[in-house]
Formats: sequence, structure tokens, C-alpha cells
Amino acid sequence: MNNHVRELRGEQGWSQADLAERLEVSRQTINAIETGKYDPSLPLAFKLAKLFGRPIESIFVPGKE
Amino acid sequence: MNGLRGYMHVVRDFILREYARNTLEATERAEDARRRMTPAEIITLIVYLTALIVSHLWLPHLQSSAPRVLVALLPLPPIVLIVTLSVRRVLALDELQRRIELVALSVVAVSTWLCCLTCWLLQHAGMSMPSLSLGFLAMMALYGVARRWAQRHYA
Repeated sequence: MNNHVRELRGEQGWSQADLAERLEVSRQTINAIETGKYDPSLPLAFKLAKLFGRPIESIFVPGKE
Repeated sequence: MNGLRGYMHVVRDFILREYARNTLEATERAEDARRRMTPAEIITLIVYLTALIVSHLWLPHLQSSAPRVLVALLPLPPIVLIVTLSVRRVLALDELQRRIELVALSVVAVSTWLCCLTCWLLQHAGMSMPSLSLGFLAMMALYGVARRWAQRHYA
């Protein structure tokens, strides 16, 4: 799964720690999501979508199978 | 004048960069501290080890079965408490940290099962096995290694 979390975070001018605090997760979680090493749970994906004000499918894109 | 302004910019950038770095390091230190064992868990672990030693030393001096059973099971309550405290700590973590803990626990569970099976098979072949009382310490060490490995995987 690919995602645009890093770009969207950059647009807001937030650091990984800022985003982690807003989502109530650790900074390591944000880093793992951004580097594609960890796919977030559905509740966390919805939280991200709500925070960025975008639909989930515009943030998370299915990768090549 | 321009030289002075450039110098001020360099100083300002340096201060901001250092502030950001310190803030990030402080956050990471706080996250690390949350993941580590709590004081209650450490105290319970010390109680467990004490109970294990007391039980081991006291047991040969007891003859009747009821006190022997009680003394033999002396280390059990602290272990139950450690497990309860650990579960509570893991449930309070975020989803990635929880996954890391579960990966580490899975590694420990499979390794323990394999070790038990190996010991049982070797015992069946008539070989003497080392005391299982060290098993818990070995599990703790393996858990630490497995957690570190899982953390590096997601880093």
C-alpha cells in the first residue's frame, strides 16, 4: 500500500511528532506509515482522512500486487 | 549590514535546528520510557526471583505434601501479577507498538514450545536436562531480543 501522508503532512507544515500527537500515536508509527513499512488500521486511516479533510482513497493508494 | 543580517540568520537557524532536534529527542526518550518496564513490573520481577530462590532453598527441608505444594507454588502469584501488569502496559500502547510487542511474544511462544519439545524428546532418550527454573530468565532475554528485532523492522 502506498500513501501520501508525508506530502499531506508537509503541506500542513507539521512534523512527524506533531502529527503523532494529533493522532495520539507514537512518532515511530507515523514514520513507519510514511515509509510504507506499516499499513495503519482502518480506525487510524479514518482519523488521518478526517484530520487532512480528504477521503481515505485519496490518501492511501493500493500498491502493485 | 548585510553581513550582520546573514550572521543573525545563521544563528537563528542554528537555534531553531537545535530546538527541533532536542524536542524530537525528548519525544523519542518519552516513547522509549513508555515502552520499557514500569517500576511495578520491576519490583514484581524482584519478588518473583526472591520467591524462586526461597522456594528452591526451603523445599528440601519440608516433608509433608501440603506445605511442599504451597512452597513450590510460591513464585506463581508474582508471575501472574507480572503477566497482568504487562498485558495492561501493552494494551495502553498505540497500534504499531502493540504489534511489535505481539511479534516479540509470538517469537518467545514458538521458541519456548520448540525448547520444551526438544527437552522432552531428549529426556525421553534418557538425557538429563537443565533446571526449568532458568527458563523464565531465558524467555525474558529472548523477548528483549525479539522486540528489538521487530522495532528495527518497522524503523
